[in-house]
Order: sequence, then structure tokens, then C-alpha cells
Amino acid sequence: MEEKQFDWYTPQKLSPYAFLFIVGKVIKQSWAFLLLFIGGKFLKKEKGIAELGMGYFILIIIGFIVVASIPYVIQYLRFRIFIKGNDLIVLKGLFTKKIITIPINKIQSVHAVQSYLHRFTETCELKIETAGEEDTEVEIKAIDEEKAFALQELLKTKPATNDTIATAEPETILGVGFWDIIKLSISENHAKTFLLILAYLLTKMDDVRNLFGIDTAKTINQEADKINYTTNIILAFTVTVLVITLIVSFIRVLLRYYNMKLKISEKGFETEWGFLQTQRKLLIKENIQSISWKNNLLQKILGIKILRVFMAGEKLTNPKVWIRLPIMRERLLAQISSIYQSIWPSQVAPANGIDSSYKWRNTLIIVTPLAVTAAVIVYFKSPWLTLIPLAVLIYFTINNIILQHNYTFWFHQNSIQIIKGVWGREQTLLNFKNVQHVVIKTSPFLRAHHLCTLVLHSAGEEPFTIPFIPVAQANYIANWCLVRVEFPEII
Amino acid sequence: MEYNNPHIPIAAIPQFQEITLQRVEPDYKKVLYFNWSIVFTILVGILVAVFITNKELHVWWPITLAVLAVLLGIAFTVASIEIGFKNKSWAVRDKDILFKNGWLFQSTHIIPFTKVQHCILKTGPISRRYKLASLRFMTAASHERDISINGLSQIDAEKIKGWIMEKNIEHGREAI
Repeated sequence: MEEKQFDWYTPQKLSPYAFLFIVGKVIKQSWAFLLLFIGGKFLKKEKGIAELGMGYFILIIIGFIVVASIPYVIQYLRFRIFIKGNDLIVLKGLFTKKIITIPINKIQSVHAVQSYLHRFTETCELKIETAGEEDTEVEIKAIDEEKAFALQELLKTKPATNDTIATAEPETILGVGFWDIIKLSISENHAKTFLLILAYLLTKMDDVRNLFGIDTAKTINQEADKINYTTNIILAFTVTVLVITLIVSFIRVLLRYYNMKLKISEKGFETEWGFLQTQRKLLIKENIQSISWKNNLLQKILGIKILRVFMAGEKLTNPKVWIRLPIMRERLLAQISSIYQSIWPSQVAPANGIDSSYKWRNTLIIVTPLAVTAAVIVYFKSPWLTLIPLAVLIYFTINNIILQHNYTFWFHQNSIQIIKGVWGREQTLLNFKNVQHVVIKTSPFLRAHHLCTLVLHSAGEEPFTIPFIPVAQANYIANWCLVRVEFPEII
Repeated sequence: MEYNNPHIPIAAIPQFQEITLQRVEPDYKKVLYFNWSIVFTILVGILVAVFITNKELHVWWPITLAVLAVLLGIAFTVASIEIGFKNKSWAVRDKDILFKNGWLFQSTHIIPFTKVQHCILKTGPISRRYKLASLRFMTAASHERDISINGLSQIDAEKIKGWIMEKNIEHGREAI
């Protein structure tokens, strides 16, 4: 099939199908109002609405959607996107004209998302992210699929100048199959899934109470009181909850990893995944800030690791845009990480640990006071209940001992690597050249023991923290790190 | 292609810990006292209003507890200003800026100039009276984090800001 060429140097409009998404957005934003309105008509709760003829009723709903869509339609008509020189220019705005100019070399990632509606209309949603901004810099709700992919390719190959670079064809190195999905589902964090279901149900109960005035919690309690609890009923209930949790875990894994592909090229990575929504993301090598891989206890047994790539400008609070790759073979991890750091410090440098005081300081200062306070409070209710805070204290004491024992880090001239975890393991790799800001923290206890906490901030992740290490060692790492940042010519 | 990986002796690496830091302006202590006195005046005002309007609180022990809490707060604030002030210091090197702050919990920050996206010079009404300013540094890792040096003289703050801009142009703004 011959690929269409798009001239991104002339202003491009949104796809006409964007109107569909505008209507969808209006309905999504005002669904509560529409539900009340429809409820008022059919449940005859609101006299005025209930007496309306069906024709007028439908007209009012359509009129409301049309009026609410007007600002978005104006935005649609005013929207233009194009490349000028080395900048990506976006023109938009409702009453005031807004011009967004993004230097192309500052673009960190270009993310294409396709829902079923997008696929049906051959369009996609495009998200462009830059460093220093928490939110997505440019978000295009519906643009022709071919135009979007052409822009993705153009931004991938376009450096700071107009010259194009010939690049080798990307090689697919990761594909997630059905059995991988099954393995990932089994090893998913089911406790987290259960809590998510619980949180969802509580939110929905709240919505029902707000909309219809029904106290769902009270109704559930009344119905639950009527049940005669036998061992069989409790067992059946537990099994049902377990099965639902497993199904939801499976769905979550399916949505996250279905049809996942990873292509590797000289420029970086290209990932594609999604079940209901197909997402395609481009990760430029230079913009990778750090990488981490982790596994829980089950994943450790099954030999699975989840690799996360931290990009500059990535919205840390939105897991939907995180780049998570399931690694089923050790060789693949080395292949992917080599793009960022060819030799891991753990392969060439000696291992270092954190001071043993870390385990009991955390237990003594944070866990013990909380557990003792809780024990005193619950003692007056029932002395037996004090066993719960006691169990929590024992659990966290063991937890902190294992955490301190497992915490290991390595560093060489270019990067630092940390391994930590209690039941599972998490490893993080940070190249010194990506460090933006170095902090050395101390407390009276740490100063008395010539210890400190080293924090290395990069543009794309939570700070890289190494607690309770000797001051001399922290200074040594900090100085090396600064040399790598400030004297790039010696690298 | 030529590969270079020269050996760098440890002694050749610049050591940030060997730099003598310069203390912030002594007048900044007055600004701190003034700001905290406003906070405590408002707090005491609110407490007095609550105690006057609520008759149930006209008992000796809640009054004593409130007075003790306020006195403890004042003592802690005075200690943190007096002791913490000694630790508020800064230094500029050719390629980065260092600053230290904190009393019980102390931090030393080092920010390479090439990583500074922009810096903001701030002056408040009280600090203007003493010709003082604050410099806030924004890097790609800052997000909402506040990394500021407070208590600089306005002249020093302007000089540092100018120096950083100059260094940024000199080295060229590198990619993240």
C-alpha cells in the first residue's frame, strides 16, 4: 500500500470526526444532569418535566447538547497544528487566540491513543509531552490516523535541524502472547485489585445516594442483617469475591498488555499496546531519564519482571501514560536497558549497603508510637483488640529488618543502580548525566553517626534516594555525579 | 570512530564539601522575626477570641494548656531562627550553585547551571525594606518543589541570576 505524504509545514485541521468526540465529551460531562432530566420525565418526579411532550423533551436534550458543544466547536474550528522551522506550532483558543510553540528537540514523547470509535473513524488521539510540564503539553482529541503516525515519524527522525536522518528499520523485540497474559494475570497484585473494586463500589454507592436520595449503605446493612450466616454462606461469599477479583485482575492485565509490541531502533523505542484502546508511544533515547524493573513474590517465582521507563515530562500521577513492559526473559531486559546504559554498575562495581540503624530507626520513630497509641485506644474497647496493633508492630519490624538487609546499591563512573524490596524486588538504574539537582540531607541522629541521605533528582521520576549512608560515600557519589553533568566532554 | 575513556584521579575531581559557604545577610533574621511575629499575633488573636466566646473553656487547664502550647511554639521558632540562621549559607562555583539550610534537619542542595530552566528573583515588602531578595531555581525536576535561597542581598541575587543566565548561554542549553 502506498503511504500518503502529509505536508506538516502547512497548518493542519482536526478530523471532521472530532465532532463525534465533542458530543461524547459533552454527554460525559453532563451525564448526571441528563440522567436527572430523563428520570424526572419517566419517573414523574418533576411535574414540569413529566408534563412535557416527547417531541419537546427530545428537542430540549438535543438543544442542551448543541449549546454545550458550541465552545468546543469554536475550539475545533480554530485549531491548527503545523511545523515551522524547528518548532511545532499549535494555534487554539476560544475567545483569546493561543499560540503554543514547542521546540522539537524539547519534545519528550508522542503518544497516539486509539479507542474503538477512533479505529472505526480511522482517527486517533495524539498527546505530545515536553519536560518541565506536569500536564500533557498538547492533546489532540481526533486527528486522521495517517496524519498522526506521519507526525510521530517526522518528530522521531527530525533533529534540531531540518536535515533528515536515515534510520535503520526498527526491530520488534517484544511481543506479549496469550500465555504471557495468563502468567501476568496470575501474578498481578490481587489485593490492590480488591481495593480498587471496593473503592469503585463505594463511589457508585455515593453517586446513587446523591442522585436518587437512596441510602445504599443503610439498605445493604438492613439486607445483610436478615441473612443467617452459615459456614457455607461465608465460604461462598469469599469464593465469589476471590473469583471477581481474579476476573478483574485479568481484565486489568488485558487492558494494559494485550497485543503489546516493542520495537527498538537507533533512536529509541516504539511501543504499541491496548485491548479496547490501541496506544502507540514513541520514546526517544535521549529523553529516557531512568529505568526500573520490579517483581512481586509471585512474579519472582514465575520469572517475570515489569520494566518501567521514566521519561522527562512524564505525568507521574497518571499511571495510564506510564511505560510498563512485561519482561519474561532475562536476555530481553539486558537488550532493552542497553539503550540507556550498556554496563550496569552491579556487573562491574562492588555492592554497598545502607547502615543497619535504618531498620530500627524507622520502627522506633514511626511504627512503635503509632502502634502503642492504637493499642491504648483499643484496649478500652476490648483488651483482645490490642493484639491487632501488636501484630502490625511485629509485621513492620520484620518488614524494616528485611528492607534494610535487601537494600543494595552499586555505582560506577556513569551511573548508579539500586536494588530494594521486602517480598518482591525493585531495581532502578540512573545515569548521572540525567541528574538535575543533588541534595544531601541529615538529621541530628545521622550527623552524630556521620551518616546522611543522598537524593538525586532527575526530570522523570520520584527522587532517587539512598538513605543512611556514610557522609564520605555520599559526597563521593555527589561529586562524581556533578562531574558527569558539568563536564560532559570527559564522558 | 575514536573512543575516549580517560582515567580521572579522585584528587582531580572538584569537591563540593571543601567550599566555604557564605552566610545569608544578617538582616534576614529581622525579616524572619517580623514574619513569625505576624503569624503568632494572628494565632494568639484567634485563641483569645475562641476562649472569650466559649464559656466552657473558662477553666484553668485549657487556658494553661493553650498558653504552654503558644510559649513552646514561640521557643521552638526562636531556636529555629537563631540556630537555623547559622546554617543558611550559599556559594557559587563556576558550574553550579550550592546552598545549605535547616536546623534539626539540614539539607545541602547543589544545582548545576546547565540544568536550571529559569530562576525567579522574589522580594517581599519587608525584605525590600532591608534590600533583600530570594532566588528560586526551576529545573526539569522541580515540578512543584520549592528550591530557593532566601536572605540574599538584592545586589547578590541580581548578580547570581545574571551569572546563571550568562553560563547558560555560554554552555548552550543542553537537552534534558
